[in-house]
Amino acid sequence: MTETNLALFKGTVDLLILAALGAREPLHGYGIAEWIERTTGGALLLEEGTLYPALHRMRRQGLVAAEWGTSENNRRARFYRLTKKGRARRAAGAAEWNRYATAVAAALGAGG
Amino acid sequence: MLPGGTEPERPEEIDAEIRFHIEQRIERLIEEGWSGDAARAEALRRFGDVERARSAMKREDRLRRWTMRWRDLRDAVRLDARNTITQWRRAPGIFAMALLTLALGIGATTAIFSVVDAVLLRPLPFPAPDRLVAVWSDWTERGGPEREWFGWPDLVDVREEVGAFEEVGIWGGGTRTLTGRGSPVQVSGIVATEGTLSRVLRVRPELGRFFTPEEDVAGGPAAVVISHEFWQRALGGDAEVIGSSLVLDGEPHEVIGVIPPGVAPPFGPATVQDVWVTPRVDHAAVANTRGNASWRAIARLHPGVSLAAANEELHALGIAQREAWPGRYEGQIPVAHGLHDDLTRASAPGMRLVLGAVGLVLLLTSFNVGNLLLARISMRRGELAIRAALGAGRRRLARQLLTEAGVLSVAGGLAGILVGSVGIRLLVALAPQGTPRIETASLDGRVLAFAALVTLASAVLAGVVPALRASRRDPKSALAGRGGELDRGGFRLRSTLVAGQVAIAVTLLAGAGLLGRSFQQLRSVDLGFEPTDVMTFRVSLPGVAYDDADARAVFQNELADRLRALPGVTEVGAVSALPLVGFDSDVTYTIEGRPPPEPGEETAAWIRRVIPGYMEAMDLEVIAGRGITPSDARGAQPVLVINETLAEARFPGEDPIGQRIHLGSTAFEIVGIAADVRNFAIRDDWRDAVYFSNLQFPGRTLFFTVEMAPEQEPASVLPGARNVLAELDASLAVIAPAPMRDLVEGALGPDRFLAVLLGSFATLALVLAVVGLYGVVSHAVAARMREVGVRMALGADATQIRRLLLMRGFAPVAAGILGGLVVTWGATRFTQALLFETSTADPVSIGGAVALLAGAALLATLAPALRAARADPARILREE
Repeated sequence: MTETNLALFKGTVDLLILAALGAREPLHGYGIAEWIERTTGGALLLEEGTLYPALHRMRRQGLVAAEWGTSENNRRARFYRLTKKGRARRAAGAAEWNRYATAVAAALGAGG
Repeated sequence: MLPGGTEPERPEEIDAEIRFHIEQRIERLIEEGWSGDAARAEALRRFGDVERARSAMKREDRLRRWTMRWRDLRDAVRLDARNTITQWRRAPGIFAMALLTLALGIGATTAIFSVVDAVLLRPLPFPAPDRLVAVWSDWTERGGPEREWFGWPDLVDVREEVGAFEEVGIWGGGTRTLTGRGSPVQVSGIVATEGTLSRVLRVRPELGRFFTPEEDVAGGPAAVVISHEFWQRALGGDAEVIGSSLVLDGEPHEVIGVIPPGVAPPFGPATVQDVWVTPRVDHAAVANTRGNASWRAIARLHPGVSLAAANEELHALGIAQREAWPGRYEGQIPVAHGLHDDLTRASAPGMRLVLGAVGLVLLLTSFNVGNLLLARISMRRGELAIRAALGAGRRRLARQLLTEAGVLSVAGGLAGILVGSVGIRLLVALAPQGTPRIETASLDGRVLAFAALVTLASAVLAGVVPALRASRRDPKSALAGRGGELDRGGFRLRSTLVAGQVAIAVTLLAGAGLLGRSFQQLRSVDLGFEPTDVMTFRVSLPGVAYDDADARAVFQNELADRLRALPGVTEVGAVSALPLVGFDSDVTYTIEGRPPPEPGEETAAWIRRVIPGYMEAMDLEVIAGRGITPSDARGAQPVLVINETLAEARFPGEDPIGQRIHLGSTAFEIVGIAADVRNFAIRDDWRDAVYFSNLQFPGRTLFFTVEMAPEQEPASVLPGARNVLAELDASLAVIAPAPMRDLVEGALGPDRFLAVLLGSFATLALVLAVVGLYGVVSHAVAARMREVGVRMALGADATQIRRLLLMRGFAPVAAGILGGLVVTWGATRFTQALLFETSTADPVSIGGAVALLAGAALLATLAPALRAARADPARILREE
């Protein structure tokens, strides 16, 4: 349970949510938080409360759909899944991020 | 399917979502070995600011609801629009009728607005146009016109003394004859002081430069600025035009600049002029013209200086002039008016009337379409009731109906813009000549925006009433009703709309009738002369070659003689100013043997120089004595023919012939009395006028009047006339040739324009009102057939049935006629100023309007009523 100081770039939360739901859906907000924690090895400093406004915004934008359901331990929870539009955004977002990261890495490498 | 699921949104769900997360995290932490309290604290720390998250979620959810509603509405309207198209396909007749009505209404309104906008509303196209003013000499104090011209020194005073003005431009008409480029041609022009273009109007040259002060002094270099249009048209767009020379009235002028396209002087002719030149006035030579009338002025106010302040200064100047030059300025005072108002004052009342009329047409159009929509609703009552019963909300139905009206209006608006673009061209062609700025009327952004606004307004007007009605309908009663039964509320509403239409139609018909009568009166006015068979043109004798008065007299007489010898010519004369076209200045006169009048009470007469034959060619009657004859030549006793008005006003009960009148320093003997002539405008009252011999006082410019044999076209004399003139002097042009008949018609132009426009609107209104009425009566009759059947079965005869149905149809007509008369009466003050010898309560016009409408309404109601009365009661009842 280590925390680094890697603050998230703007827009990264959306990308992480899309990735989480792309890997496993439906997920509730807590599930998404856990998935991010697990897959990044806890390297990112994620204020969990920021997930929810992002989720609601993405729902407005039609990227995710929400539905109330029952969690693994039988509690009422809101589950999210990707819409068709969300899936497309996930693919595009991932590609874009990779290009971005490669470019930044290249620049940093060259500056050496 | 709505975005992000369909479940309704509640605020407590946000809390539930947050709570689930935090509890889930606490459980997990406890599993990892945290104590209860520490786990809760850690969970909250990891979550961060709960309140911020909650409000952000709320905001997003609210936004999402709005988005959903908007999409919902958009989808619904799209669906409604599709439904609408299906609906209209099912009733193409009504659709076509409504579309045509809207296209005509919107088209007419758009075209009229475009013209009114161009002529009346748009600001002048110059920098800071609200600082531009026109300066006039107000002669009302001495019973003269409100806007007179000035003498040159008067305006020099204005330019030098009035501090409110940044710059004053003194100008006059400047038509010139251009020679040295093929045959001589007349070019239009303005003579204006050097700062007029550059500093008063603030125009920038397209090429070259504008005048320098040195080019506006007596003896200074002669320079000319030409318009872009003239440069392209007459000089072929010659790139080397600057520095070239134009011979105007015999004097070479250097072309120094070109005015950008479309720049017309916002005064005088107000159309693009071929050439601008400077007056180059010799101040000493005109020093004695104080208080005269030959120049006009426009000026630019200093920034922040009001028109009222300028007028105070002008007034003070006028008073000072009176004191400094006793007798010269009595009863006249300089005054400034905003240039825009000044330019539009003549056309404004007519334009406002037409705009009002077209507004009424639009209102009527909307009523008519609303009526057609109501008829559709009646026919679709079953469908609408079923949809209501199936759970379509009232608002949903109302929206459907509004959408239908909207779709219809958009289609009508597009068609209306087409109609409007044709209408604009028609109006510009039809408009009286010399309507300032009319040629700038076009379908531009402002006009399109207006058309869109009008379309929207008509959609709302046409759609809102049916929509309200439909939304109030109780589905149960509608379903229970029989197909043919009268929808009473709808009928009443439609009758009200018909009454409104009739009222508008009566108003327009009465207005058109009044203007038509007034126009008829104008046409039947005794002009005092006979324009038929007379051809007119102007000949000017410019330059040093004609500085000698005798040379002019010889030339003009020779020309008249040669014209007289042309085939088909029966009489030739000439005058210094034609009736109803141009006008000479007036001059004060005194009668010999009577005490001189007090200052300010001088009598003035309009003067006409004539050459013998003028009165004969124009059939101007000499009532007593004789006319001007060839014996009234230079060296002989100067003679005058006075008009009837002057004779009656100054010589009541005496014989004026043989008495003497002084004009300036010359004593004239009165030799005859001529009949009064409408010299200035057909509407004008008579004024004192005197004719004297051009042989005795030869001017430079004369209008020749050539009377032709009745079987000849007046214009057929022109080739001969041109030859004759070229024989005498090849550098002169036959200027502004026109049959006198056309000039008279031209003077009637504004009145004809108004009468024709209002007449067309009234016709349109009549047709629309009758169509609306016919629709309502047919509908009522169809709906009441059952009642008719019962009544007939119970013994009512056909006459009674007819009467019943006719009364039904006529009730709204009668109400509408009454309403229309009230509106007509209320609009009296708008029409009054436009009427000529016609009372605003003219019984023929107003009675005619009522009779025409009542007759048409009778026809519209008679057909369906007769049909009903002829029906077989047994069959009607069986069909029920």
